[in-house]
Amino acid sequence: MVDDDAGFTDATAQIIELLQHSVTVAGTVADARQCLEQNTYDLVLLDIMLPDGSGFEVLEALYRHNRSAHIAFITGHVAVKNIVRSVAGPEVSFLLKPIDVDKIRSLFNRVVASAEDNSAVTQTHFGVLVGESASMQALYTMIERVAASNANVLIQGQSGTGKELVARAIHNASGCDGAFVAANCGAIPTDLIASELFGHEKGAFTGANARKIGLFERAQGGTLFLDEVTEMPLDLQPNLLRALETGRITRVGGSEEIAVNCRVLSATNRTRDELASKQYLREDIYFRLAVFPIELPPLQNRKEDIPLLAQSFLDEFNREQGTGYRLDNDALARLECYRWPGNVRELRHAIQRAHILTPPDAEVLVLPDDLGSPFASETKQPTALQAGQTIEEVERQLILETLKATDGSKPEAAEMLGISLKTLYNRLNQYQQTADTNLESG
Amino acid sequence: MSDHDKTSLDRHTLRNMLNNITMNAELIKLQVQQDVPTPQLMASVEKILQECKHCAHYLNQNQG
Repeated sequence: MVDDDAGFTDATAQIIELLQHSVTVAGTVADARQCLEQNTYDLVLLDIMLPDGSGFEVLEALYRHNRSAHIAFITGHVAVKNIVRSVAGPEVSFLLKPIDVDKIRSLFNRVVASAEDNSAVTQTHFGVLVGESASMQALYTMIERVAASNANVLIQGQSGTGKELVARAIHNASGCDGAFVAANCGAIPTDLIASELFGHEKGAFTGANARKIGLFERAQGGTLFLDEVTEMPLDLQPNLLRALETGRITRVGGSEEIAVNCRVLSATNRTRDELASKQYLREDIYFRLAVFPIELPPLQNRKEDIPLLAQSFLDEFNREQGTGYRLDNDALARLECYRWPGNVRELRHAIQRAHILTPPDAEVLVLPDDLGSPFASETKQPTALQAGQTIEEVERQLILETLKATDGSKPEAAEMLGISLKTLYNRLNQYQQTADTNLESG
Repeated sequence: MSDHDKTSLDRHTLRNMLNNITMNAELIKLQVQQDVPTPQLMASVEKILQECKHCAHYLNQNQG
């Protein structure tokens, strides 16, 4: 839930928990981005105007990290709905304030039902994995066995082979009560790693304005997934080793030792040889993390899974966009012939791009001429927000459209947008300054 | 900012307070249905009372 009104989020989060769902609250765009980097969500409740930007910026981050999450905008006015829908696409929902429990319950029920429908279409293993090849069957057996133990697992495999999905599969198969908490060790600044892993007390360092609960504590009773664990600097690894050995952590700036009980799954795209020869991991920590190592096969080694995977991705995009494209034999043959150096991730992107390129009146999915090259960069985002507009332009458009809808009344527009009048004036001044600068430079 | 604009600024703030009161009332409804312990119920009631006081204070401050 992304909203800067702490009174509102506090009560709403408690309601959501009483309805038997778990919830994370972010008060700013920056907080929300951090959450999206570290976790995946089934549903995102999103305020439109936030202190450091707009809900559209969160939407952009969401499309980058977790395309399948359902989005519901929180707004006080029906009139804002149509404007937001025109830029965010038809698939979003709206929660109109004042919100009652029944509205929240109904929204969550719809999202859960939709997720169940989706999983019924494709045969998945442990709720997340697709594939029936011999190598995947062997993997499923390993997952079942390791899930029944408490062993830490190191998941190795090339980029794009689905290491995080395997971590989720182990978590799902374990039946544990706690949360699945994921972090990318390569993305955390070196000086913040200890604070991220173990949390910090208020005043522990400049900028520590409040106590922060770390990843180990958040994963209590559940699973902590450390992706790209080999990117953690060697000199910081002893802190992690100590937590793994003792099952206890101390928050940065704190003195109390806290017992933590979570399984640690980690992943790396470094090969076994690299781990040994280039010393990405200290030997002692390797043996703690890799009690049970699992190596994922590259897609090239399980080509028989390509039709199943392609179909599951196409089903997903068909559901999202309300289309009914199908794969014909020619397309399947081309998919099976390609090498897929980027593995399953590259296949997914190829299907996604084909889905966008296919004419609306076509029945059969049209594959691009070159399957590989468009995916050399993984930063392309095919969203409704990407029709040539920047996020700033979308936000500006929303504000201007709202002003138009209120016949230029700023107070009414501010109220419809759920922002203070001062914030609206600030944004309008900012647009004016940008326009003046452009005129001067033009 | 015109006088009319200032009146509307009050409406935004008041709407937020009203929303918080509504959400806490909805929370209490659910807490009662699920037999949550009394201290948790009282915490929600306390939040509504606090928000009502803020609301009254805000109206007094911005009178006329």
